[in-house]
Amino acid sequence: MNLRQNNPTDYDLVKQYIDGNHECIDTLINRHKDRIYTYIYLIVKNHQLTEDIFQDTFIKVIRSLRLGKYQDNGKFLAWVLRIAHNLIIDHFRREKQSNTFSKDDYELDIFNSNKYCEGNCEDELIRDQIHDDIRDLVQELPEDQREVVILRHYKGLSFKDIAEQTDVSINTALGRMRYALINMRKIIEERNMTLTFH
Amino acid sequence: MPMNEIYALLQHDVLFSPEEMLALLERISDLNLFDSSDLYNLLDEFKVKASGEIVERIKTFNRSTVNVDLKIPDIRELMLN
Repeated sequence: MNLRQNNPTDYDLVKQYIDGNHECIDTLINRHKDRIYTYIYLIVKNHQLTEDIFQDTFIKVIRSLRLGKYQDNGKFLAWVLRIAHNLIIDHFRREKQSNTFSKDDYELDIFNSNKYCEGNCEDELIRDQIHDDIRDLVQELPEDQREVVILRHYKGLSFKDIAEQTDVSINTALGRMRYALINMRKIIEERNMTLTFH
Repeated sequence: MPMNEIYALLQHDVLFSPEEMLALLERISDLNLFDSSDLYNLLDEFKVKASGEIVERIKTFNRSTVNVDLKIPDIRELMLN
C-alpha cells in the first residue's frame, strides 16, 4: 500500500465520494472540522449559532458534491470556508433585517451583561460586590494576561491598540485575553463563586 | 493586507453593528483569503473544537440521505425527521 492510499488527499477523497464511496466525506469532515468550526466561531462568537452554521455548511457541501457542483482545484478547505463565510453573511443580513444583534458569548458575561445597567439599591450593592470580586480575580492573573484584561475592559482599548501598546502581535494579545478568561473561569469554578444577579 | 480584515472581525464586539459586520464580511469575500496559510495558522492557534455530537449528526445525515434526492429545497426537514 503506498503513501497516497494511506493518506489520501482531499482531491482523492472528493473524487471517491463523487464516485459513490459515501464514507469518504467522514474523513474530509474529520480532517477539516476544527478549522471550519473555529472560523465560524471566531466571527459569530456563539456556540449555538456556530453549530447551526457549521451544520448548514456541511449540508451544502454534501449537496453540492452530489449534484456535481464542485469543481476541484485542489482547494477543498478554501471552498468549504467560503460556503461557511457566505452563510455567516446570510445570518448577519437576517439580523440586519430583523434589527436585532446578539451579543457575543466570547467574553465573560461578567464584562458584558446588561443586567448591571439598571436596578435598585440592593442590585447596586450586589453589583459593587461582583465588580470587587472581578477585580480580585483579575489581580490573580499572570501579569501579561492581567494587562490585556485591564486595557481591554477597563480602558476600552481595541486589540489592535493593545497589541501596539504592549509591543506584541494582535494574535498574542487575543491569545492572552483568551487564556485570561479561561483562567478566570477556572478560578470561579474552583471557588464555586457566584458572579450573577439572582 | 487581507488578514487585517480578519483581525478586525476578531474584535467585532467593538464594531458591534450588523451593518459594520456585513461591510467587513463582504470585503473579505472579495479577498483571496480562504486558502491563505496565515488564515490557517490563525485558525489553528485559536482552535475551537467542533463537538462530537454535531459532527456525528452531519455524518448521519450523509449516510441516511444516500438515496435521497437532495435537490429538494427543504433539506433541513430531513435532519429533523
